[in-house]
Amino acid sequence: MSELLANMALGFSTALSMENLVYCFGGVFLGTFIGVLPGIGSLAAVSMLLPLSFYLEPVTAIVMLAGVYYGAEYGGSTASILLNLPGTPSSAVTCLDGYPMAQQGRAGVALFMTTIASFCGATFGILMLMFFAPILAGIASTFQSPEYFALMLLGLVAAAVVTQGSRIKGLTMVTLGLLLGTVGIDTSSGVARFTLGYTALYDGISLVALAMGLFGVAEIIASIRNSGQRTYREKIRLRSLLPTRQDVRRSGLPVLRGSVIGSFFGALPGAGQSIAAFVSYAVEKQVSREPGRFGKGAIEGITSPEASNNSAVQSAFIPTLTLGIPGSATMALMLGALMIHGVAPGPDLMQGNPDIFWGLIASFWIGNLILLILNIPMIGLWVRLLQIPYRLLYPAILCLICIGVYSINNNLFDVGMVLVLGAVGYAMRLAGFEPAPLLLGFVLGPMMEENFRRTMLLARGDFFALFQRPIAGTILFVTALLIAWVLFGLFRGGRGVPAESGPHA
Amino acid sequence: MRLPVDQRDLLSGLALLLVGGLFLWLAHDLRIGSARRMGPGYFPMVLSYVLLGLGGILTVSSLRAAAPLPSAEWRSAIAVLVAIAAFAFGLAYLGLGPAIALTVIVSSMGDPRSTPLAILLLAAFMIVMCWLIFSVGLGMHLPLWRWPS
Repeated sequence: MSELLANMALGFSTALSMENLVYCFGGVFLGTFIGVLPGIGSLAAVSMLLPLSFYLEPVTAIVMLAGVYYGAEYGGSTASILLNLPGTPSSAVTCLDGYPMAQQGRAGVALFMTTIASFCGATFGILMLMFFAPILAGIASTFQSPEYFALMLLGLVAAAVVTQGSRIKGLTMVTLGLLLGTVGIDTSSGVARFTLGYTALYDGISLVALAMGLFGVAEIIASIRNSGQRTYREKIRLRSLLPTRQDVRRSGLPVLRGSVIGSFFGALPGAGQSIAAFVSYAVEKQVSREPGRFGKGAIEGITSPEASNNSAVQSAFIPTLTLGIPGSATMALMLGALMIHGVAPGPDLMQGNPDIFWGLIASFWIGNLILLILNIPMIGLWVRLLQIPYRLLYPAILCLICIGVYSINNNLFDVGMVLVLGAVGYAMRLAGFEPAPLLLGFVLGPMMEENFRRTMLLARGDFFALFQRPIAGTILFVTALLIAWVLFGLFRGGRGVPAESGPHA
Repeated sequence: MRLPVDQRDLLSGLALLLVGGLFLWLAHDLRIGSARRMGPGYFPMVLSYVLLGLGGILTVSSLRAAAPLPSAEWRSAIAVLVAIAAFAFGLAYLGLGPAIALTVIVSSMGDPRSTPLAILLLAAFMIVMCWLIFSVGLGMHLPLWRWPS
């Protein structure tokens, strides 16, 4: 316990530096701002601000990006409630009861309660992070290449399987992402792979260009036509922000349940906030004594999922920081950002750079507190933001994307990459392929190959010897089961749930 | 084409087969090595084969149910993609200001409801904002006006 206090003291002393505070605030504000805008999810928000973070110290950079991330998750529910359009994919569930509440004139209450619920969820998630990360790091320090390889493989397959849409397509995206990750100079042999003679590709495809092209540009193209729905036209009467006592009473347990569910799913590889939010909603509906109220403005229908997705955001850092294995595409971006700054996440992070680790956790506390204090008076501002027509917003966003991507290497090649990837990303959307697994595969690719190489070296070329190691063997077995399930489902006649053309991360 | 197949998945499956084959072909001069001592070509080769396999499965499964091709929003896509190209062109030859203006103008064409006045105001606004954020705020070297160079 005293060790925990000492660590938190270290953390707060790092987090409370002027620079970190300013960028925490900035990240949180920008994140909420972007999250409020429908269609641009937390992933696009983080990748847009990724180039900005290159100018900063590692801790500051991640503090800011993390702020953007959970800020965006906070902001995402605003459009869900007011426009019936989710600002982030995980806020989609909030539409179900949030929009009816708005239609009943209770938009203010809905917005207020989701802010509180988000804070509670985030707090729970951070507590989980604080307690479990050291334990997990301890276990992980016994891990070697086979265990890492197995975990990464499981994470990727899980991400493919759990994704919305056809599972086969998900697996395809993961594979393609891994392949794209091999583009560039191979570090072990020094040989250039798939660079087609372009020196700009020697370092591989730019992560930001990939993220912005596949997610940002593709999303913009798809959104222009229905942009009429994205503008909030009514005047919102926010005088009645305060909930009734009944609202508060009804939300207590759901928020707790949501937080627990969220922290569980957030830490699982492949799952993530969206699943957490959906499961919370389903659970609330199941345990409720009046399930008929759901879908018509039940306050539990928004407070539980919102607590859940914010809790998931925080606990998603657990595997990312302690194992170096991201559970979702956004975590993959965080991981990428950390690596670009020269910080290697994993069990060594806590030992070698405790100031970064605990400074981050302390900044999560601070950031979520800022969000709570910031958002209540700012609800009116966010609503006004939603009244700007989309046709004015998207050219601006496109400019920011172009400049942001260019600024990484001062190379127009990257801008060209965004163009190509944007076209590909849009085609993928039309074809029903989810881009998130691709990003995960892309970020994990080099690490996976390295671990695979070492594993095979250890096992002297015998892949099946891996199954004799207890941890790696179990993980691989579970992975094999998942793959078998996908293939089996295929032959049974279904191709998995057909992909819907909804908003993507 | 009115074939009784899932046209979308069929095309996707074939495209994946093409991509997998492309990667295999591009990797033909990479040393593969053995499982024990992997060369640079090993991992890409394994992945390419997996991709080919998955593409094949998708192609075959598309033959089972019928579905039409989804319609693409060509106007939006062309506006956005050409706008990005315009940005690159502008930045290369004309400077940041014209690049932003071109991007805003071209991409706004994607929405038929855009009015010329709004577009011009937005372009001006963005030029000022980006100059403030990137040049002043972050100290990046992006000349606003560069032509003639």
